[in-house]
Amino acid sequence: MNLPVLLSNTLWPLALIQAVALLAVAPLFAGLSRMMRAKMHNRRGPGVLQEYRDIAKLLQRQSIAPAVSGAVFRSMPYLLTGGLLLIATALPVVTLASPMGTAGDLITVIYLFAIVRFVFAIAGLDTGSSFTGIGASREAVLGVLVEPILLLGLWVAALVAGSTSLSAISTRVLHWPVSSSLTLVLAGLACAFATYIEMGKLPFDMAEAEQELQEGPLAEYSGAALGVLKMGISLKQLVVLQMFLGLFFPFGLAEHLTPLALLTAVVLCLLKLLIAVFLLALVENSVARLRFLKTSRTTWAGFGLAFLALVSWLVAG
Amino acid sequence: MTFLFACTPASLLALALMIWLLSGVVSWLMAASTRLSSLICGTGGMIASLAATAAALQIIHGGPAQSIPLPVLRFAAEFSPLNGLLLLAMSVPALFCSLYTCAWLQGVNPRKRARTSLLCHLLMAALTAAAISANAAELILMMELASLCAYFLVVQTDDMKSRRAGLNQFLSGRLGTLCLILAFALLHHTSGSVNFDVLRHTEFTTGGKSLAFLLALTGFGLYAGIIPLHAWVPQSHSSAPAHAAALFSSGLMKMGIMGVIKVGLDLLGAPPLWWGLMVLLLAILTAFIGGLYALMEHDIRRLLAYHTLENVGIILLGVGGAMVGVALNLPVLACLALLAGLFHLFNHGLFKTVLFLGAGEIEMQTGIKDMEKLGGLARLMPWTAVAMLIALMSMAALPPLNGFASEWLLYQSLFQLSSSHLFITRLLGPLLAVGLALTGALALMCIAKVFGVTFLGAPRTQGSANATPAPLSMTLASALLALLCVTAGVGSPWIIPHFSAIAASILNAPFMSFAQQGAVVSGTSAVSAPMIALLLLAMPVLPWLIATLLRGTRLPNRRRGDAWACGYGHSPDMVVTATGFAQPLRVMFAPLYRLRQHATPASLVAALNQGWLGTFCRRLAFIELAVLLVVAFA
Repeated sequence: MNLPVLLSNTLWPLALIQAVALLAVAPLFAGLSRMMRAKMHNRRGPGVLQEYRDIAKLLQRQSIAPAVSGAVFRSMPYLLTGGLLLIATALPVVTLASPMGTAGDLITVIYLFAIVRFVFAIAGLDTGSSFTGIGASREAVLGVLVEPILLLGLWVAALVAGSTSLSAISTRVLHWPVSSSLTLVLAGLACAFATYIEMGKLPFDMAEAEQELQEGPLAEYSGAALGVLKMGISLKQLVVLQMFLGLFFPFGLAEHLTPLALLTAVVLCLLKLLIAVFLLALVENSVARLRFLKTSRTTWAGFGLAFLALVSWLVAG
Repeated sequence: MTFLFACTPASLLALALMIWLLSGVVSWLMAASTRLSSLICGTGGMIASLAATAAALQIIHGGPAQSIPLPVLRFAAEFSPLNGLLLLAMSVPALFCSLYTCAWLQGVNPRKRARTSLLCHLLMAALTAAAISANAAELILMMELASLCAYFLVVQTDDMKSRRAGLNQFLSGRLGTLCLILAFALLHHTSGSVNFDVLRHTEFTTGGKSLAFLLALTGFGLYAGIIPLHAWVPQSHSSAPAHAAALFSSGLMKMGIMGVIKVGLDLLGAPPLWWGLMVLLLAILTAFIGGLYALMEHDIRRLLAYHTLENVGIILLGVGGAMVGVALNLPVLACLALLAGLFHLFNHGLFKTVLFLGAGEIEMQTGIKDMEKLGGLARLMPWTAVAMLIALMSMAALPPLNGFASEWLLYQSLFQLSSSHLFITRLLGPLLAVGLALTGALALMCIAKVFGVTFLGAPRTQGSANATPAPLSMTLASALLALLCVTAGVGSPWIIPHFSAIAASILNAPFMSFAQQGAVVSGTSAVSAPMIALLLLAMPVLPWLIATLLRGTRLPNRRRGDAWACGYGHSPDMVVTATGFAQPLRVMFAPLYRLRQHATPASLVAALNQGWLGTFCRRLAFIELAVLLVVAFA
């Protein structure tokens, strides 16, 4: 692992560009998954651009909030989106190395996700509504359940790579070490599980449970604030997904910055996201929501996978 | 200010000790005149802590341990970077606690004012002396004094809970002292002296060494609150005045941690592997159980006390990692882990003091300790809310604040531990990291609860609806200290090399900087807190720009009416409470919560609190305090 490369900051324009690009395409992927959902229900459904139309319309509408809400409630959509944009700069999206090396460390990224979770949860408590408060509580509990799985899975991958930086992990996975195949596969499965929970899709659609909690912490948002929040939530799903794909499916990412390599990397990245969104839609539309208090039993399975990855690493060395 | 840096550390410390004592006694005598006594107490405390801070900064950069007698006081002191660090970690919080007392003392009755100012200053003087003591007799004497002062601060509020807490604290403290006396008597048996300098150069037998270590770990563990020796901690922090609770967390309990570092790494030579592993396991247990139990509290200060336990666990993870590193001869692991532990020790003092002072402000302005009755304070006490928010985020290790800087280093040292060659450390390293992550997630939930329920939403009672901002000096104390938290976090790449030098000098290892080009570098990864801070501030501008540019004919934001309640009329008691917020975890971790009842059977508690024992202990404590004071001055 070459640290000066990690610290040199020549890639920062790319970091900003990829963050903005992810934000720009996030509603597209949300629209795609909406469309697939409709197809699986044998409905015609809206077009893939519907999310953009929704957001554009919402941004022109007045925001209305309860009287007791305050600055935390008002600023949450911006802070949430901003925090996710920061994470987006640090992910390997088209390059193999993280373009923002000084934030591209797995501990840093996990704690940046914690910031996002925190602002989301306290905004839910800043409304005086019963639904948003419960949603906030569920969001925080999901954090307690997911973080051990995500950390252990990534930690084992990092141990194989010999460094906790995202660049090192993606590089190591690209040059697949045959002796650690089983370890990496198990770690990848555990992370896939954690990623899926983090995306908040069914059956783990807890915090924003539509039918139970009326969208949880989102319930009191309206107008422009809701528009920004919709952008933020779709960005969150894309960022979490891209983190998984960038680390465990780094095939095709550009090792050197040539135009051709970048172009193929962009195309491959979009293709991978598309396939992943399709697979996710398949799962999402074939299961029902878990009972919230029983979720911990299911997440133990994910932790078990991560633990098996650790065992296989201990044995294989 | 320049005067402070012109003096030698020895004279500065003598000055600090004398001012602590003098201003304490004077404000005790003059307690009848409200303003004067508060002013003397506050300014005296501030000058003394400034002098101690200046001395600490000089000691840290003063090279290896050396024994120097203090002028005037006939106190043999030892100046080593570790002592300097501890002095710094307790003097900086004490400075702001003193600022806080200026206003707080004016709001209480003369009797309480007299006692609190005297006892707090005596506590700080004893802790300062304990931090620089050159032999075990001085150390135990001063810790005993500090612990007795703490006892009287706890039992001052004369109610059932405080009496129980005081009794608990008294018994734990005496048991701890007993263990320490036994441990050092054992060492004295071999070496013929309890002088730290002699102990360092004596060869001990393996068995004797280990027995002494176990006894000392129990003794210091009782002070530091290592679970399961923590029984005195929660209620003591709630019963004592808020600034005294801050001093318990940032001073008294840190003495216990320093003791563990001293016996584990400094005095007894290289520790065997199992010492380090035992400390690591106790540490993760303390961190996890502390974090888990904190979630179920709704008295703010009890909750914070459980978080102190959690942080003691996190600091000890660093210490234990360093011990393992020394045992396995892995200097990078040892340095990184000890650096993480020491930096977290310092950081914890900063953010926990903000939190206790903030809790004290809330209590003073509303008269309420229970979170369930608060709410909506962010609008009524904005500065307190901002300071508490920063400190809470720092406590949950959110980047780019100081708690994150030290926990990141700790994760990196656990990574080093995981990639070492021994099976047991390869197994433990990842599991400890998972434990730490789980603790972090619990802390996140807890800070969301504290901040959300206390400061956001609508006030739940009349008391919290009528709150007004706290007096200037109290608000200033917490706000300035919160600013220091941000500085220590964002400036971590420039601060960490200094702590690394301290760690290297304790371990007699070559200096490793762990920072370059504005980033903290661990050898396997890097993080740049300034960069993260910059981006965190800049990135939310983008969605704001989008929302502004696509505004169209949008009307301005409106805030009116109640929250939507599914078509029913909204009523305030529909809103989630602190208990309701944490309810899912009570179900998911039910067996761990039941553990508490099994571990402390009600019959035992009732038998201990049968009246006569409490009174007896109180008298005993008074006599002991008097005797020890005479001994200390003789």
